[in-house]
Amino acid sequence: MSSQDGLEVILPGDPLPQLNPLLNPEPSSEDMKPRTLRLGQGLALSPSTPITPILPYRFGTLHVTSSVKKPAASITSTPRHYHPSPNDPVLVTLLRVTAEQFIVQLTPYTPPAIIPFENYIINNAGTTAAARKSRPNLPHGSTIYARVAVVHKHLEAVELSVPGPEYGEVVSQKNTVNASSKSSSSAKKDTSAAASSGNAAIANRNEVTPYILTISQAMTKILIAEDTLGKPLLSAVASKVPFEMIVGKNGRVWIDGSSQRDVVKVARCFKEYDDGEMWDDPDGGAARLRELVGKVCGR
Amino acid sequence: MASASLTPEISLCPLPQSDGSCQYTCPTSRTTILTSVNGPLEVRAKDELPNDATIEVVVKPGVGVGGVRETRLAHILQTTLKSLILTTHHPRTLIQIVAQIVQSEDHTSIPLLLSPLLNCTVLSLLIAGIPMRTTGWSIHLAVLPAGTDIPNKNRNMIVGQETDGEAMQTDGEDVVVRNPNRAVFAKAKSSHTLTFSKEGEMLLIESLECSEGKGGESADGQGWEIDEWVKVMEIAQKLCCGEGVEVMRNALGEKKVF
Repeated sequence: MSSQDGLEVILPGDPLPQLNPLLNPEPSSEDMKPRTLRLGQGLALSPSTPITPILPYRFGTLHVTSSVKKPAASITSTPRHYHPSPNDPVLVTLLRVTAEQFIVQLTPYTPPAIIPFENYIINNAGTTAAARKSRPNLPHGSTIYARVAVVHKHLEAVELSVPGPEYGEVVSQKNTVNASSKSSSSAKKDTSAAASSGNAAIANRNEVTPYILTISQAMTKILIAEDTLGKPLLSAVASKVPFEMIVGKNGRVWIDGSSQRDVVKVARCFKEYDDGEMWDDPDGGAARLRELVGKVCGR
Repeated sequence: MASASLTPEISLCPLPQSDGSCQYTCPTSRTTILTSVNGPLEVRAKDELPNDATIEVVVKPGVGVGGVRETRLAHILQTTLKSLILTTHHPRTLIQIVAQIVQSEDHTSIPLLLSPLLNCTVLSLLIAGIPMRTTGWSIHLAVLPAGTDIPNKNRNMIVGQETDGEAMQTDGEDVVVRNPNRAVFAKAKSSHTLTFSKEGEMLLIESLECSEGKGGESADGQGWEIDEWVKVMEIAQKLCCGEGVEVMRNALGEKKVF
């Protein structure tokens, strides 16, 4: 959070002189390939305005990754709605199945998204769900962890993909078995506390129903950045209750734990942290967070 | 209160359920506006545009039910905002803007309402993350005939007199007043609501001759000379691009983003 404090607010239409060195890179000896600057959210190419060839169209702070290999720039802002962008990990709900695709709900306020069967990879060998035999028989309302594949403003629906076995239907049992091996670079992460609590505790529980919590976009970003922004919250909760979570950028978090009581405790901590907008406090919410965790999880 | 603050009171996100909202109080005329922006939403089939977002503006009056005046205000807002919003980013969707007049000294006066409405809406649009080409700021300037008696507490409205209310040179020269309140506006001979983008490009002109003062005397019958209008325009441009943008940056700078 403190890293954001020094950054200047960018308004739509502001010229971005910071990007000029990335636009016209000097030819360097070791890397002669032309490097392309990737524009993330909030930035668009605008050839019609010579002062701002790269036009910021949202208010926020400029975020630049000036690495040699993959320079990228985006405007960081926290809109209330989720705007899908490619490669976002999301948690979706299955609405119905048609002959060629799963129809899923991405957010309640947008038309349904689709997962074509050929985008649904079920195992490491790359088998897709296109064949009737290999198609997973998912009940309506099941939760699928997917990735945004195609977003185009002129398309009717957002297209999602399930790029591997670590994605797919979110089942409590399946995830607990593979939990420790699954700390991939995506947002699907389990806390260290859950891993250290041992598999024995998790293996013999049967009656735990995982919880799906709807959270704000700001909260989503906090939970995904588990080592930086989310560290105070996650370490405070995890020190009391072991749990696992999967965060979808569409504002949903899936919470699982070793007992129903634990799941509810974690969900309540997250919900109250979010509703109280504790990250907005001058101290980063530390005082209120301590009080909250003490109240919910016991001292 | 010799010289009240000229910075508008802005509160961002007062409405927790809307995508972007803002409450804005004009520092001098005390007009208070509350706006809410939602979007992009699904659009009704008859309003759907194949390549653009539909912008819907509703202005709700402070007293009574909405009528022609509110429709006119909504239309002015809609056409001005259309040039700011990048509608091609979200085709076949709806961007819904609702503005509620909370408080005004004169609910029947379009000039007193228009500039706070515009500023408040632009701030809400920014909060909601609606794609915009640039931002705009609006100011209402009124021209008073030379030698008009302005009460001391309102001296800070006079352009060029913000700092010291003591020295006044109303002799011979018309007085330009910004965001006047009703009492001062009643003495005006012409009123100009002007909107400029951050870069100084003109977005809106709403100039009108006032019944009080000595309007209607110029050659073109408009109540003001063109030289006078150009002078007013230059003042407005300076204020919008300087002060206005600064106010906007300060207000948004307090909002935390991740």
